[in-house]
Amino acid sequence: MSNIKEKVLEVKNLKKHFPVGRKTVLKAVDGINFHIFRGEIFGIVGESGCGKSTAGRTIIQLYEPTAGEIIFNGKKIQDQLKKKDLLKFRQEMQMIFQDPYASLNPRMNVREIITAGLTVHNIVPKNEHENYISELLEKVGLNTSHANRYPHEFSGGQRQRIGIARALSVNPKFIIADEPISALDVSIQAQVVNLMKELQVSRDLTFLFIAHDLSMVKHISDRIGVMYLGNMVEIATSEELYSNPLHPYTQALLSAIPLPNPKQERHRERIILKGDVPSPISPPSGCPFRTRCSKAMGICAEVKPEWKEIYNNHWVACHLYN
Amino acid sequence: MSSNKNIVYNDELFEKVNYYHVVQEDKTVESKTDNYWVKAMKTLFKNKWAMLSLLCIVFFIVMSLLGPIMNDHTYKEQDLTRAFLPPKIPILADVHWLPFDGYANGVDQYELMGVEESFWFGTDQFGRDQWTRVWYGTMISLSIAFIAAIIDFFIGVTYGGISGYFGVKVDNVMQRIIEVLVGIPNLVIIILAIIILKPGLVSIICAIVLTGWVGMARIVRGQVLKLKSQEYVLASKTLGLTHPKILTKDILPNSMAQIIITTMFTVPGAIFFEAFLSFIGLGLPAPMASLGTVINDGFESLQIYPYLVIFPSIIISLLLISFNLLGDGLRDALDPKMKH
Repeated sequence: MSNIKEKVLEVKNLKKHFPVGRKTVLKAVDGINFHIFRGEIFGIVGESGCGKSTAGRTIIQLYEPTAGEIIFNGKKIQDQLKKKDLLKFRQEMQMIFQDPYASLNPRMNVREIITAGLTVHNIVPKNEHENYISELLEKVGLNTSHANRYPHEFSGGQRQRIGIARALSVNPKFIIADEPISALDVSIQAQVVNLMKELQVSRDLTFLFIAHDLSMVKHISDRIGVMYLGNMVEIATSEELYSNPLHPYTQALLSAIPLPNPKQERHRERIILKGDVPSPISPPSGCPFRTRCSKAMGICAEVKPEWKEIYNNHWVACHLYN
Repeated sequence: MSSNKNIVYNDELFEKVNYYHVVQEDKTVESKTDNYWVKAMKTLFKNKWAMLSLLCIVFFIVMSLLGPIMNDHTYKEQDLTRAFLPPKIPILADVHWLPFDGYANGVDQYELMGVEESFWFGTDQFGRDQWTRVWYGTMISLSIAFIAAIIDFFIGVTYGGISGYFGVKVDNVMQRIIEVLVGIPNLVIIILAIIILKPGLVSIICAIVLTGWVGMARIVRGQVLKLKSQEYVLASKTLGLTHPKILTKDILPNSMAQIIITTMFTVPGAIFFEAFLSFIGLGLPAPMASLGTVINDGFESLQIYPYLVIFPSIIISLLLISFNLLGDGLRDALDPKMKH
C-alpha cells in the first residue's frame, strides 16, 4: 500500500439523536470522529445498541444527522444537497444490509431488483442490461438463470449475494456493509466475507464494515474502530488493536474471544464487565463507560475524555492515557 | 478408517454428473416453488365457502345483466290493469305449495284479472314487472357498489400512501383531516351531500365515497408506516430511487393483500349503504330501481303482498353474505397471519 493515504471519508463530531417522547432524546450516536482511507476496509465493532448501524445509516444519509460533518471525497455532505449532487452521492456510496430476508423486495425478481439502480443512474444503456446483470450475477457467484427468480427461492447466503450485486450494480466507490454476515451460517459467512475482500481488490472499493463478530472483523479489516454507547472509544489498525488494546472496554471485548488452542484457552483471563449497558436516553456523565469500568477514577464522572491520538494512528478516548 | 487407505480412487468409483442434468434438475425446483399470488389463489380455491360465494356473486352479476332482457317488459313500463299480480311461473303453476302458482287468497289472480301472460316475480302496485325491476335494481346496486369501491380504492390508497410515507408533519395534517371527517356522523354528511347534489346515481356514489375512503386510507397508511423502514425500502433509497417509485414499486405491491381485502369489504358495505339510503327515502328518484328502492316500495304493502319484498331481500342478503365470505376467504389466502 502506498504511504500517502487519501482520506475518502471523514466524519467529524457526528451526532444522531432520536426524539422519544416530548422532552427526552435517545442519543444513538453522540459525537464520533473517524476517517477512512481510500481502498481500505474499516471495521466498526461494538455490542448491540451501541449505535454502529445508526452511524452507518447516518453517513449514507438515510437519517439526517443531528450535528456534525460528513466529508466524502473532499465534499461536505449536507442535509440539503442539490438534487444532482445527491444522485451522484447515491451512486458512489452504497450499502449492504444486515438481514438478507428483509433487504430484498419479495415482489420483485432478481432482475428487477438489480435493474432498479441501473435506470436511475444510467449506468449502461437499456439494451445492455441483460448482459450487465449476467456478468454481475456471475461475479457474485450466482448464475444468469437466477435472474428470473424471486427472493424467497434463495438461501440466506444467496440472498446476501444478490444484495451485494445490487449494491455493486451502480459502480460505487464506497460500500457500507451493515453487519452483512451476522444473519448467516459460519460456513456461508466465510464465503461472503471472502467475496467482499475479492471485490474490494478487483473493483478498488473502500468498505465500512459494521459487525459484532470480533474475529471476523480482525480477519477482514485494515483498521478497526470500537464503539460504546454512541461513542467511539478506540481506533487502531487491526494488528495494533488486537495486540495492544488501550481502552478498558476494548480490553474487555477482546478478552471474550475464545482461543483456538485449548491450552491457552484454559488460561485465558476474561474481564467480566459488571452491570448492563446504560440507556442511551440518559447516558452517564463524563466517560460513557465509567459505570462499568474497573479502572474508573474521579475525573471520569466529571469530564468526557478527549479523543486523542496516543501513538501513530492509534486513537483512544480514555483518561488513563492523559 | 485405516482400511480405507487401500482403496484406490479411480473414475469407475464415481458417477459423472452431467452439467446439463444439474441445470435441468434446478429448473424443476424452480417450477415447484409457487409465487405468492399462485399460492394465495390455490388456498382460496380450496376454501369451499369462498368458492360458493364467488359462484353466487357471479350468478347474480350474470342475472343482473341478463334478467332485464329475458322478457319484453322494462323497469318503468306501467299498466294499472295488472297491478299486484302474484308471481307465476308456467311450469311451476301446478305445484301449489310453491309461491309461483299465481294464486292469492285462494283465487287465481291471473284468471280474475284476465291476464294471459305470466309474471315470474309478480307485479307491483303500478303493474310493473317485478322480475325486470329486481334484476335491474341488482345491476344498479352492484354498479354503485363497484364504482364506489374503485373510487374509494384510488382516493384511499393515494391519501394513505402519501400520509404514511412522508410522515411527521404531512401525516399530522392529513390524519387530523380524516379525524374531522370521521368525527361528524356519516349520515349527516351524506344527507347534506344529497340535498345539495340532486338525488340520483352520481350523488349517491359521491355520498358513499365522501366518507368511505377513510377506511382504506387508514389501512394503507398503517401498511406504509410498517413497510417504510424495511431494509429493501432503505436499499431503494440508497440507490437513489424517487419517492413515487419507492411507493409504487416497493411499498404498495407489498400491501396489496390488505388493499384487496379492504376493497372486498367495501363492496358489501356500499350495497348495504345504498339500500339504506333508498329505504330512508334518499335514494334514486322514482322510476329508477335499485335493490333498496324495490324493497322500500314493497315494504309499504308487506303484509298483503309479501312477495314484493321477499325476492329482492333474498338477493341482497345473499349478495352481502357472499361478498363477506369471499372477503374472509381472500383474507385467509392473502394474509395468513391475519387469521385469528
